[in-house]
Amino acid sequence: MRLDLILPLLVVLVGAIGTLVVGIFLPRARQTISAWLAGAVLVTAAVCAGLQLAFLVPQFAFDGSFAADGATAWVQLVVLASALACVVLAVPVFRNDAREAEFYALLLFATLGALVLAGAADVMEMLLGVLLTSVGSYPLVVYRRADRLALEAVLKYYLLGALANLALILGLVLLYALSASTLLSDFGGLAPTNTVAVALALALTLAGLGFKAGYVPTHYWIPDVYQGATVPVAALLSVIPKVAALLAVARLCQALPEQLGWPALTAGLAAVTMTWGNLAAFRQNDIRRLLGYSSISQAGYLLMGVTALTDSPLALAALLYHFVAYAAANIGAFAVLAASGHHTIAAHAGLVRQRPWLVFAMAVCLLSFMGLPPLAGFVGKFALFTAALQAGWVWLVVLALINTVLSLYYYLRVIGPMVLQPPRHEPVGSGQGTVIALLGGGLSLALGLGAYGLLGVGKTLTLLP
Amino acid sequence: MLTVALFLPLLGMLAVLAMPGERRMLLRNVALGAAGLTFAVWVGLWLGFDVGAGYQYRSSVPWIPALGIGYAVGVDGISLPLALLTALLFLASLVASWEENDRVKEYYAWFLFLETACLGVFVALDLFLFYIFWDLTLVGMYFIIALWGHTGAQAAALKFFLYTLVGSLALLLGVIVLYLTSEPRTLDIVELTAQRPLAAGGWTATLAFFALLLGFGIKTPLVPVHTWLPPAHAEAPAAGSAILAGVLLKMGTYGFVRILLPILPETFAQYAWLVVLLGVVSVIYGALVALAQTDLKRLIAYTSINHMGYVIMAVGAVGWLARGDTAARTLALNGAVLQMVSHGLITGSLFLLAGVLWRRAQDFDIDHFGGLSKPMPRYAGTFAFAAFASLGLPGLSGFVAEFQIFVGTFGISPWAAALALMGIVITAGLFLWTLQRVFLGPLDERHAHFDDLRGYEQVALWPLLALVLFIGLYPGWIITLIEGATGVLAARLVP
Repeated sequence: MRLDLILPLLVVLVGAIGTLVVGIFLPRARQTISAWLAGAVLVTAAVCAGLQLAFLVPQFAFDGSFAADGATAWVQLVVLASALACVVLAVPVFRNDAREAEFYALLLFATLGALVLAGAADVMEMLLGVLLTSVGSYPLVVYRRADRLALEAVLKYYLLGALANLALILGLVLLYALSASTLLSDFGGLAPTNTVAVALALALTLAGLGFKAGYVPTHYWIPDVYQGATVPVAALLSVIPKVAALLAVARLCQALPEQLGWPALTAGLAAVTMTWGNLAAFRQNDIRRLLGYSSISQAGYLLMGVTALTDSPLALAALLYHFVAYAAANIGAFAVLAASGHHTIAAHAGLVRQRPWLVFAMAVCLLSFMGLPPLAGFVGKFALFTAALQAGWVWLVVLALINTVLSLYYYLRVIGPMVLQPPRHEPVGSGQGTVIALLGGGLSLALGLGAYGLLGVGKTLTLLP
Repeated sequence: MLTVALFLPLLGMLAVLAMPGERRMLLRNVALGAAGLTFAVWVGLWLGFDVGAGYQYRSSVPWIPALGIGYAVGVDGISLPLALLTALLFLASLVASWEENDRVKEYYAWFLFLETACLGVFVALDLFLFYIFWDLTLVGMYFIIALWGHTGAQAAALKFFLYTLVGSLALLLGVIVLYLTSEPRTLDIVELTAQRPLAAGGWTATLAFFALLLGFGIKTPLVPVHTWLPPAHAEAPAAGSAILAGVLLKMGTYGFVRILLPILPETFAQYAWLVVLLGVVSVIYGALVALAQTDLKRLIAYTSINHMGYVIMAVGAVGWLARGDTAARTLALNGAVLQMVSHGLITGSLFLLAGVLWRRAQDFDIDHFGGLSKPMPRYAGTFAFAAFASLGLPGLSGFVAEFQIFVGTFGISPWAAALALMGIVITAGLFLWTLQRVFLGPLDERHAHFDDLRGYEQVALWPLLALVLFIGLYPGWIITLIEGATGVLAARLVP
């Protein structure tokens, strides 16, 4: 039993419990210490994940149930860095909250779930990860119990989550019944003899994971939850479960034999998801909802990478790279909201006169989503589209290009008033928000311009099994 | 060296951004200094250019090895004149914006940003790099139209951005297809030109061809994908219109000459008739619709469609490998490239001249004017000169270019040349009629106090028009420069 293979998980687990315990003994006025503690835990775990990325030989841990490979370490790094950014954003929001310390403990538990999910090579482990993130994040959404929007959001989140998790369990049970194993590595022998059962298992599993990854048809909770939750929590939920679940989808699909026709299924999901997310984003006036739909459409683009996984040597690198691009831009965009203290497009009018750097960060993040060169989102999309074309999905790429044009419209609807209209409201948000926003924007620019080696690193990573 | 010339305006932008926004004179001088220095460096590059020696000032640095992408730049006889035009036109536009007082700092910053993006398109020798600069021009132009445009500017800017982004993404699709079919995988334009990865034809070749055709065609713009152009021109500030017409449209035709024709000659030959047809339709349609315009800027915008139509017709004829010979091809190609330069100078001047009128009247409606030659004789003379240049008066640059286009095209596709000749006739009538409506006839007393061309307006305009005259009288030097590259290209195009 090599515990070093799951070192980041252990660090976060111990840290989460530690934060909880320390929180009990901290006086009310000094509970912010637990935020520092959570931050230290995340940094330590990230260092462990970074070491794994650099030195670990890809292998299975615990009898094949956990894949300690490059892709896992990579996604764990993305998750941990994003969680760290959310902790920073959360400090001013939850300072002097009655249950301040518990917030960080819950955040760490939700993060732990994502870490498990990222490396899950066994369906039971996968389920464990999904449930842990779910249970950790339900209370995070409704942390302000008096807020009616938050209550509505958590209700939708919880009910849909219960349903989706049920679908996932059913799907995984069916997969187990068909292959007589819970290990993904044993799914290669699945034969499409029992067509109905295989199709059902695949559909249910993908729908269940789609709840976390945020693609159609289990995406409904996203805009409501992003709107109802506080900004740091929305930022957390928009990245952490999503990248982990998408890696799980990729791992699962790669393990299945291609004759089952899963590429066609994920291609269809990608097509519907990106189009749906884009069209629904058109009329949103609340930036949080708009970002919600935008994150749905991004899940669609990411699914293109999953679709091309076995037919293009570039697909995995493209997927992993776009995870980073997506996380940087999304955290950055939410941080702008934290820094301005407003939520609607109208309230941000004329922000460029008050906080030009915030507008710069927002513009860079949103245009990175859109895929404007030379930003990170462009390189990600370029790689994803190239991979999909290489795998022969011409129609999917054409649809993605059309969707990219559509997306420009609603991203400009946010940026436009900030630059073109006179100011209306004073920004009232936090300084931490500004810092994270600039980091997110700066990363979106830097990852596009300078750190092109990242794509090269992505190419060397492996995805077990 | 080329990299310096490319990023100088961007440095200027950073300098402008670092300065306080209230010090307008300082901002103007710094921005003009950056643009002027850029132009000087480009002239220096031109003086050191060895005509006929292929790509020069090349530098190449690997950038994303995982995708075979590099930072590769270089200029030849096709891109160097266009880059020189870009540097000159930006300088003239900034001079002409001397009285711009709205958000001055951002104004100069965006123009300098746009200058680097435009230069980048012309010097990039890597398709990825080319695409990056191509898209950055959209961003720069979007903000220039939206922020400093006239009443309907925001809608026009959005239309411009969305419409041309469709073209960009079609272009991106074509680029990816080229990348995936190349062996070994590369995005280097020179290498792709040598490889001709899609010479075998097939549906991938057709896909790449039409994706690139749409991408470049929207930018040019070709009828029927031209509808973004008139509102964008009508609403943009004068200097923005000058850049849009003078430089940004050239990016489309440059794409035809640099990418579509050399990398996909076999597929191009198959559909050359379509390209010629699109060119001829643009020529005639642009001229006819221009006749119906009452807005001065829209009128000039439609003559742009007409003029770019000649270029596309010529390029289409050049690619029609089943007909004509290398001599005709070289001639048509020379004409096409020279027409790009000439149109940039002439139409850039015309839009700046329209801006002169706007500063005095806040109006572009031709019917509201008349008799302006009385209060503004120098303006009338300058405008008339530019208009005559635009209609192709012998002795001016437009004539040299169009003459070569017509002679070359006639040797390949006589019908197209004959049909397109109608466009010349219509635009000639159009410009004479416009001159008559604006400058002759009774003078409206509200316009009687208009002052003539101001000092800085002359400084901006007259050098451009002097160059038009110089090229018209002594075209040898620039044709030699262009032919150094077009001759090589035409020689490679054999059926």
